[in-house]
Amino acid sequence: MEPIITAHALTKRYNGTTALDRVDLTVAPGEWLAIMGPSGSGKTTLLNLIGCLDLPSEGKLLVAGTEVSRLSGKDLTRFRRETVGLVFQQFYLVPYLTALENVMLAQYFHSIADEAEARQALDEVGLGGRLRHLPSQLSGGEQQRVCIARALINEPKLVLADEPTGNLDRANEDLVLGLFKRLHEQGHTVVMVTHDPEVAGLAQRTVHLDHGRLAEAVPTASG
Amino acid sequence: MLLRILREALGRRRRRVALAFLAILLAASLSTALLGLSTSVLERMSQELRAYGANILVTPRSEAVRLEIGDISYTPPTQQPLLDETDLHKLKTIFWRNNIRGFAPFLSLVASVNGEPVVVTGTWFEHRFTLARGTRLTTNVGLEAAARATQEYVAGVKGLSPWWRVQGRWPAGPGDGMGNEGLIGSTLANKLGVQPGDTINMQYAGRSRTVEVTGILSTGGLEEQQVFVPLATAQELAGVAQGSSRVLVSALVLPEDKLVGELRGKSPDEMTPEQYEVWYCSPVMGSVLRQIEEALPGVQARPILQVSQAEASFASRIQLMALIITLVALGASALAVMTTMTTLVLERRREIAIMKAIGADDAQVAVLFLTEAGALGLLGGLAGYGLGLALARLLGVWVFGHALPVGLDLLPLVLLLSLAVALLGSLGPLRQAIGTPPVYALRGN
Repeated sequence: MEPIITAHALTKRYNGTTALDRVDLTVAPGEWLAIMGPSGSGKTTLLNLIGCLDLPSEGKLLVAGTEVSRLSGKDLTRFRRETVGLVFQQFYLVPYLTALENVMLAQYFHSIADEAEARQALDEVGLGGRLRHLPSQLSGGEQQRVCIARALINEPKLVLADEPTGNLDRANEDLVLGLFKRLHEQGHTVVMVTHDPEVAGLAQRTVHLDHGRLAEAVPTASG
Repeated sequence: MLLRILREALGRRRRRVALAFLAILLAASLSTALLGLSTSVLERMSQELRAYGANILVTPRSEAVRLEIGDISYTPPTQQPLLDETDLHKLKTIFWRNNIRGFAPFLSLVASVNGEPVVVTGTWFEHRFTLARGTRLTTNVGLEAAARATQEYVAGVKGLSPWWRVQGRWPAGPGDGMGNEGLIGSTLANKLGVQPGDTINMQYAGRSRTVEVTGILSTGGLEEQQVFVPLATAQELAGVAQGSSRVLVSALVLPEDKLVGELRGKSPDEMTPEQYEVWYCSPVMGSVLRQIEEALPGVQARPILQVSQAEASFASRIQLMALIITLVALGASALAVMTTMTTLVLERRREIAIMKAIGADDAQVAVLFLTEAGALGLLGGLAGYGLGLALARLLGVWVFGHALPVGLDLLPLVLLLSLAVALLGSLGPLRQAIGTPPVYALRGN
């Protein structure tokens, strides 16, 4: 089966500093990959490149058959909203919109806002009773679940998560990881950045980054 | 969804939005008040200046040489052509009749008053007259219509020269032409030792009249050396049945530069019939003079240049000053609005980055933020217009003692200005925020 992600000699430099150094990586459709490494190792940079939030300085990156390293501006934005769902450590919800409206916002940018569909998405992450709450009225775990519902609402081929449990307590961490397990079982491809070996242990495969270079690929227990 | 986002963005960020709204409101109200005042100030100034006396002198058209000093004819009345004062009501039948604010006839002669040679002037102090229903009124070049109702008017020096001060009282009596009362100038009163209530005897060419002085007149001018009596008294003394040697008229006129460009500086004789009609129907000095001469055949109407020129120059200076103040205030408020809008957008860089990260393209983000800025601009502009009207009213009362009318025609301009500054203030930072890849903006926070 054709890989959903193929990176070849992927390099990213910021003002002369190499954040990512000639990384080669492939991810199969439906795979759950964990990216680990110490702070500053280039984990988030790699995730941002795969998520089309940034462009590589060198190298080639194919996502879902499209060479995104050659896209720019409008095409990159369009590709991102069609293909990728993003889950952030800091949730990044629009503060003056309710949980429901935050999900609908992603629909609106994608195509047409459908309130019933957005309600269902929030219901599926256990927030059916918190639709009209503002982010400031939700706990960290609840905000992260809104973020997951927003990431999934447009049915992306690829779900990217950057330290999704980094700001959560144990109970909420379990709740959120449970959602990712369910996503994976439903056939979604998940790429997750984490520094927590226990979280990485849920993935099928873990790659380690060190000083921007790929160290090794480790099949995990669940893989 | 756009409206929903707009409602939430404006409704839930009240403090920030209120700040921007306030900046736009102040800018719009200042624009309304200052633009409104600067457009109506010229008309108001013209009206105010009319309080400082006549600006048109009407005399009989004559080839004869007359001896005049300070607008007073020293040629004996019996030897000069006179204006029939019974025709003067026609001044209120010309096309610009409503701009004729006052007029008075004058007949002067040098008589012996208590043994001293003194200029005695006959005039109307306060003369009431009626234009009957059906009187022919000019409605356009060569066109007339009958007056639909009887109208009453008051002419005379009391209205024409409101700065004249009388110690004592104005001469009274029915249609003061029949009265035996008069005013004496303050300088002359001092010289002759005359007080209100005294009588003075006037002799001229073997005729003699005695009048009671009801008041001492102070004007700050040559009138303080004269005696003022009812016109009929001066006519009796002069030995003429009727007539006056000059008529002073106070008319509201606009400077010639208010004429449409092609008519400026052009003589009426050089105009096409269409141009002449436009000129005739413009309240400029030339057309008012022409209409006075049409209404009173055999007269010559000319501007009292000093007054007209001073008025035009003063009015244009005031207008220029109002325009400069308006522009400076508008510039300052536009800057304040733009700064507020800039801050508002810059504060939301992360929000823009989030939107872009979840799939918004540049145009979608721009539409969202510019719609919000536009709505703020329009709402602030509308509220500011209302406040500006009240402000203009207040300023009008403070400065001129009357509320100045500010029309609805300013509303589109004020809304456009408010919209423009709100959008311009947002555009720069929005472009910058949109141009930044979301990953940098998110990392920055």
